[in-house]
Amino acid sequence: MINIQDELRAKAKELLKKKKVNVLIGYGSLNENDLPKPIFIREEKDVDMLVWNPFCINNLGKYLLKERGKIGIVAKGCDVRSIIGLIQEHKIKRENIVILGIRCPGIIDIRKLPDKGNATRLHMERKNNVVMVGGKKMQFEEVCYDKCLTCKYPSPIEADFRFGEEVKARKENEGDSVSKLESMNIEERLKYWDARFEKCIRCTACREICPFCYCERCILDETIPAWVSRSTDLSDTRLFHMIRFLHVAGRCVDCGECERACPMELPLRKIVKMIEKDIKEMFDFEPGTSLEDIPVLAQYNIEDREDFIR
Amino acid sequence: MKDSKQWTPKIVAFLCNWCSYAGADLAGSSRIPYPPNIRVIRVPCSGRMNPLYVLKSLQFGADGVLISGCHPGDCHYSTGNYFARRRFMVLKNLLDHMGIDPKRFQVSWVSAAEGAKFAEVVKSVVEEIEHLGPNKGL
Repeated sequence: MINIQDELRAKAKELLKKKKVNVLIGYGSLNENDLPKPIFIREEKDVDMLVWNPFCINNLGKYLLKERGKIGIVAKGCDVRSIIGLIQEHKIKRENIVILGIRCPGIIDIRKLPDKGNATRLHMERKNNVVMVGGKKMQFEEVCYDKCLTCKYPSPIEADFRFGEEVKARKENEGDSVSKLESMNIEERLKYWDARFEKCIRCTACREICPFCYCERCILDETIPAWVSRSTDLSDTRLFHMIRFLHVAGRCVDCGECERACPMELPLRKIVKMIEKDIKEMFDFEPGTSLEDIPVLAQYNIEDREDFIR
Repeated sequence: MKDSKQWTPKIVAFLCNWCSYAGADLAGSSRIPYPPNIRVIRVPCSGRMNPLYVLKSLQFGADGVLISGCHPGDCHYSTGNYFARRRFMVLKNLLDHMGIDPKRFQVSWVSAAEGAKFAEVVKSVVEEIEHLGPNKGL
């Protein structure tokens, strides 16, 4: 793990020195007690702030849209997919970014650590699939993010430089949670979501963090006409989320940031997963897996299914 | 109880200007009867249909939404209905995932010459939604 960090720093130093990039977006912390946060490195001397550890969860892809010129970016396998998505949508140019791709063995969710990671994470050791936390042995699967359990692309599909050892893709396992939802009847499902959406405080964190929610004027903010009111009325909350899901359908790469950012811990990834599955079944399309693809809803096939049309 | 006896579905029908709207017109001028439960809104193309309009109609109390456009290949704008078709597929699935009966959202292709088919479509859609009962969700 330390290995990757050193290599990253060396590469970052080289890129900044040779002026290959104006800015490098990566994970950084001021001291080792700090959880990694997104940092923007513009000068060589700051490179030592760059870190890589099993807590680097943020998807930095979104910040590409806020910077200009040549940009270097540290990206895990999942993040690379959202970067590919943004390139497909012509929001960024491939030649303007340098991807430092990391073959990611999975990221640890501090909320799953014994004391929410306050102290234990500092004395954590990881050997393959066993994690030692505060003297306790735990399986990696117990403490990692849910999305890492079903990660199909741990190694970056597209990158200029790759770091770390080869990681095996995990078996695609849609997760019992989704199949449980699918087996419910329609009224149970409505009840399930009502119970969840009742908690939503409409902070819009899910939208702010989503790499694909980049519209400068969002329909959810419009007041004339107000498509969605600002209140936390259940019906409006449901509408709010449905609009968001529709807008990212076929583009969402399941980076899981919406669920992570949600202060009320709504299971947003469940819907995301189900839509992803639909898209795969209906159009045989996986978002963010190839630079040449066109977003699935921006193309059509004359042979598309028609059985639902009268 | 009194209300439920008198309840008849309200269905918002978004008809494409070039085919289905003319088809509905033909049904009218040919004196073909069909249930009076639909409220027609004319849109330039089925591809103009933002899925949000469907959700918003359902939220504002419509019991069902019918979208009707040109047959594939006949679109006035060549490909509008092909793109629309994909969006409708996703929307139909999303309604299902969120616990709203996807049958409340209906799509049909009706050409300008198919007045009789339009009447048939409206009849069957109304029957189906009558069977589902008043819209409670969304």
